[in-house]
Amino acid sequence: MRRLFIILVFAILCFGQATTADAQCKQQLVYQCATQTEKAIFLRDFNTKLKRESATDETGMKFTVVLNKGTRYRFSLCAPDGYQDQVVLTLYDSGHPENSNPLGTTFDKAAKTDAKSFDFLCNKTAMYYVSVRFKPGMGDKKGCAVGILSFVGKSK
Amino acid sequence: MHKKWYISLMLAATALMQFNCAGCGGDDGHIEYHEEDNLVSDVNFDSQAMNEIISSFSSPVEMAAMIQSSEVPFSPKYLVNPDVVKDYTSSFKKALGLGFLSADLGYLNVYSKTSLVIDYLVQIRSLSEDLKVGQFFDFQLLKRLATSDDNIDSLLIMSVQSYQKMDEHLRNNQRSNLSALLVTGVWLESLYLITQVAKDQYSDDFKDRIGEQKTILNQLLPILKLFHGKDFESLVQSL
Repeated sequence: MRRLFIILVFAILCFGQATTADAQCKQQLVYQCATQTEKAIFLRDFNTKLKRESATDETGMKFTVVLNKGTRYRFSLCAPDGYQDQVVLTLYDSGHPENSNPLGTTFDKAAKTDAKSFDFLCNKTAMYYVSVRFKPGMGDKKGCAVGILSFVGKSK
Repeated sequence: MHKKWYISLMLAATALMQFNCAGCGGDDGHIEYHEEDNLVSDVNFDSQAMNEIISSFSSPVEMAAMIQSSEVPFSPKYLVNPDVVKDYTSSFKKALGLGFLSADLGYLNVYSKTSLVIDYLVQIRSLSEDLKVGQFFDFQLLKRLATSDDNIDSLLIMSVQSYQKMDEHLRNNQRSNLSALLVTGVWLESLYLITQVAKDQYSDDFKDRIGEQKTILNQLLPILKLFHGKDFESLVQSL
């Protein structure tokens, strides 16, 4: 009965979100993604609108996040059906351009493989950038994706 | 202004001064706040850049997760007494208080202390409604999750998301001053938590984490200095 109640509340919440989300992912996807972090503790989400109107358009969004030295973080990426292989989450610092020297990414350009997540061991407390975007040459329509930051543990 | 608030600020200033934080120490730790309600952001600054910095600050859960991963036992003595919310009479105090309680809610959720969560939810609802961001805080859902033992993860996720949405709404509606106070409240309370834990159970990890907050303070102070009013001036001076 309790589960049914919670599912109903989530459904209502999702409906409400869907009407106001303005191309961000629905609450249901954010929640599903946040609960897939295994034993890591959820810290925040990066709910992203994706849109490419022309070939030169910068798609997706960039977020800033302060990460702390000595902590292992997990970055996960989720997207609705049909978009999973079109989006990429990239972590980088202010000293390097987004695509030249990322600290972590869900897309291995060389091997052309996608990962649902990657771990990052932070060795300097500072502000970092997280981008969630369509891969180059992909995404000729609107979409959304959700990045999740979670706490895995302290470095040993 | 309740005692815990003074202690938080004094400890934050003391801890940071110990790590050679030039120019960021408080005077005698006494802060006098003035009633300046209906705060309206009148900042003439690149608001996108400012919002980027504010939004980067840590989740209300992170410090608690770090403390728990160090196998430090739970202690309610570190937490703000939720009853003090009645003393938060201005928007300035309410926004800071909302940050304090959000960090404490994160601590309770990480330690799965659901029996204590309801009192905090009640007061967070009250503060969020007063600040006109109550629509992002689904009290009934969170209360229901808190009373069901098998929904700890859901409670934590929904609590953090409520906090994120309230903060985002404030930033997107020319109320960045309140957003800055919200994240400052979370940061101060998180710093208070770890300084108290470090006093009871010293470790190099905790010492390092406290010292590294100088980096965060260096990001936060320029933002707080952008806002006008005696309350903000007192806060900046105390940090």
